[in-house]
Amino acid sequence: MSQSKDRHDDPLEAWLAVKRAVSPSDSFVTGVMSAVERVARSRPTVTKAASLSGGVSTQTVSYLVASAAAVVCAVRVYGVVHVLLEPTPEYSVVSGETKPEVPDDKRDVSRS
Amino acid sequence: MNDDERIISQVLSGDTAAYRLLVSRHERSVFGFVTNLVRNGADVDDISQEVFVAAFTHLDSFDPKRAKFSTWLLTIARNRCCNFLKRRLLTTGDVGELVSDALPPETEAVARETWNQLDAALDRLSIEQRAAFVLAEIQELPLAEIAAIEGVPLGTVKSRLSRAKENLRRELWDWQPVEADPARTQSHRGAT
Repeated sequence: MSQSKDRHDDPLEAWLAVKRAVSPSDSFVTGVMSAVERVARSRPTVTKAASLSGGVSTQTVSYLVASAAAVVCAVRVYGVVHVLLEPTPEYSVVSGETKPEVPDDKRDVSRS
Repeated sequence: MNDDERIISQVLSGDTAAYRLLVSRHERSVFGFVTNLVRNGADVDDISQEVFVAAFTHLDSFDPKRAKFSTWLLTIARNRCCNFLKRRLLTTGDVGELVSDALPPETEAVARETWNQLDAALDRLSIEQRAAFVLAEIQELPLAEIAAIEGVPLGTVKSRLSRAKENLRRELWDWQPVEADPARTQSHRGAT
């Protein structure tokens, strides 16, 4: 609007000046802060943005490494416990062999 | 790290009271933008306050590498205003108080009428043109920053601004205040 120098410049410039002069009331900041404090009380602490704390690198990477280590440990512990608690078989069958069939009548069923 | 970013770090580390500094630094810009875009007195305070509360709520998502805090804040304000304007039919505002402060009494009536006409013309612009005009001519922001706020290419901002100015000029040119200076009115009629 400032480029045009016709008869409308004065009212336009005056109008723009009034528009630019708009400002909030003195109590505006107080009102905003009351609302902000209500919001802050109703939710947990704000976490610091990664971009403001030097990028995602250190914290995120250490968290991922710790998580992966925890998963590996859990799997290993589960494996050990599983082996310890598993019932031991009476005999094992070596791969390739077949368990010999015992006729029913040869089985020792005596209860002396 | 600039002042805004330092304050933001403080707020993010738990110092909520530090947010007051951010509000004080940017209240005029946000309030001015909302006032001139929405132009509906009762809602301006509410929307401006909502902008700052929304910014506080999402402060951890602000990325200083992408935009300045003021740009981010005005983007929130722009979105809130657009949503508001789309929801509600805008009525013409009144600049009576401001006219009284700015002009001597003898010119007040004409100025009031002219400015009301300009206000009405501003209201008749599309939301996009109005936002571009308010940001460029009233907030006096660089076009590149307006493009960032609007989320459009620079060329689109230039075109919206150009059309907005053209529409306002046409509205003002077509309109003749009855009480206007006869000599000026004559010269205008002679020119057309």
